[in-house]
Amino acid sequence: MSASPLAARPGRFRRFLAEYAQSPVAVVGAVIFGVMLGMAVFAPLISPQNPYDMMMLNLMDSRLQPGEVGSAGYMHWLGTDDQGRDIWSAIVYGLRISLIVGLGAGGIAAVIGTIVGIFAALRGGRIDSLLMRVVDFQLSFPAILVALILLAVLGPGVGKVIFALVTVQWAYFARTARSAALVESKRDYIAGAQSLGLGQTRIIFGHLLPNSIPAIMVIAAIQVANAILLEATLSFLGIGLPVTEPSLGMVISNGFQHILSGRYWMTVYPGIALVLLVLSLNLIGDRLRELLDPRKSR
Amino acid sequence: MTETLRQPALATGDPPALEVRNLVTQFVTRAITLTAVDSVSISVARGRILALVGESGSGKSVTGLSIMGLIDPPGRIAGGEVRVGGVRFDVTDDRAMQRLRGDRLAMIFQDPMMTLNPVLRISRQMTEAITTHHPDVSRAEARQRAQEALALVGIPAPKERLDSFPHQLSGGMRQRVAIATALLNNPEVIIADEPTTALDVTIQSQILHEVERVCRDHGTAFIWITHDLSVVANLAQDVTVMYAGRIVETGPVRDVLERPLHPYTRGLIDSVPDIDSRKGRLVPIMGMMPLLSDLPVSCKFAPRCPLRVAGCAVEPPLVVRPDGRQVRCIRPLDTVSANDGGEA
Repeated sequence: MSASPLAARPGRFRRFLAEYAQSPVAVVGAVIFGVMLGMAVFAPLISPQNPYDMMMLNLMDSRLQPGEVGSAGYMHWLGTDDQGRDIWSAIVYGLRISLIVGLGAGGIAAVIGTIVGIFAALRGGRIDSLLMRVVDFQLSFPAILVALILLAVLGPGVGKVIFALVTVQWAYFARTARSAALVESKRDYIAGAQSLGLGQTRIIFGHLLPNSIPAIMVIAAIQVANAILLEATLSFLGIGLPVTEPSLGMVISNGFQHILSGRYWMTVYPGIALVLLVLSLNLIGDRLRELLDPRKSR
Repeated sequence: MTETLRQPALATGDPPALEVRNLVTQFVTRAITLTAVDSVSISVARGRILALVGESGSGKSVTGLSIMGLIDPPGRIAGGEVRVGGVRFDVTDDRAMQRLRGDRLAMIFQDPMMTLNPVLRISRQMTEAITTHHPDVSRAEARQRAQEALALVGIPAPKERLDSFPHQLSGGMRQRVAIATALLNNPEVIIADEPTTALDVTIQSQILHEVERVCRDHGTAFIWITHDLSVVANLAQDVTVMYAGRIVETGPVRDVLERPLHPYTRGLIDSVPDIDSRKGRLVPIMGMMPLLSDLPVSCKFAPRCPLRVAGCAVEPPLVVRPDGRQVRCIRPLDTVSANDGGEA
């Protein structure tokens, strides 16, 4: 609170990072997520083969144990599957798809839900009630059921999976954004902005929205994790993504049939990757919740 | 009651900076209509400060918000007119009021911790106030003007302060920033809603000092909403006392505080502790302000009034006396006999 004239630009973000770092577990979460994000982005550079380029697969290399050297002359650290696909490469590429789907669905759901929520909060009355009943209705169905039905109708595809996930997730954001907007719209700085003659659009996007973001960010971290899990579930069930765009869920599913034959690596390692990804997001989300709790004075 | 207050000392012929006539603000629900502000008329000349005093719930803040056109549903302004610099404005016209707000009319709120947006830098909040009303002003120029406004209200190192966030400033600094922001477009009128209530007394006196200077140097008219009579005595030239949404007394500060006419005004004065007074115990006003939903048809203060008589069963009009003071009472204190305790 003390205002030294020299420290004119410490920046909220820097302060926030410093505060975030006070929890070692949360830092571990952030590091894991960062590493996995990096792996996904640089997938072609860090994986020895493109696991879905059939020309690069050699059936001679199928079902190699972790650590065995294949015909191409490099070691398969995590083994290969029954088509000679390097599991490490499959994980890295799978991460890519999983993250695209999770971040894409979470991001789009956040934008839609936030707009709906703020609109409902500011309009109030019947429109508010109507929108919130739609949200209640949406949330009363199990997410997996809604996604299953949608995908059964739409068929597979990255865009369609994202659409299905947005459909089941926007409602969480709408509910959170509405309550945040309701709280913020009663705060004095909104009246202050009004007393300066600022227009409504400007007040909503320039003043109210930035103050509602923390609450939405907390939900976003958890919902991205949920989207990734849900997508993995759908792919495991075989109705999510097409075989040409395999996510972690599909890699796990492919290896699952071999688990009873003792070839655990085909499914356990991708499983670990999925767990780490979801866990890291949850750790980040929990820390954000602690830091951004509206009951804590800012 | 349509009579407006005029200061004989300032008979220059200029229209007052702000003139409010017969303002009525109501809160409407399906079951009931509450009149929070009932036919309030006030007037402030350039460079003068009018204090608006009253207990919580007397309608003084709602009066301020109504003048700014900041009444949200279920509230509505049901009548009256507002003139700024002699020009009439329709308080219910959102667009017109939005242009007026922050430009010719500005407002300062009670809690300096809350009125600045916590996630935006001071510079952004201040320049926005300029560019909204004057789109032709460049960013650099707006920033320059913001910096000058900060310097004007006594903020050290204003250039560095512009890049601060509100949480990096102390409460007093924040209120100065709020005042500087209100001053940006050199408004004719500033409505200040208890701006120093949340500050400690040393900061308060510094800020009052700055306000006096602004008022003098820029000719800005202030409406100072407060319940603190010591602030009123030090700052304002005129005072209007409100009770249950009505004006009960208006007049020059010195006259009103030294020789109150309305029993309620005297009750307020008697409730203030005085460091060198001979009055032993404070004399509170008995009872509570009536609920707006349950106002008596009589004089609204009658149920709590120590000087109540039978004639108080009818609400008296606001009477303008020959000396220019206004009072809403059938037995103003200077007319009641000494054994009723007209003067302490």
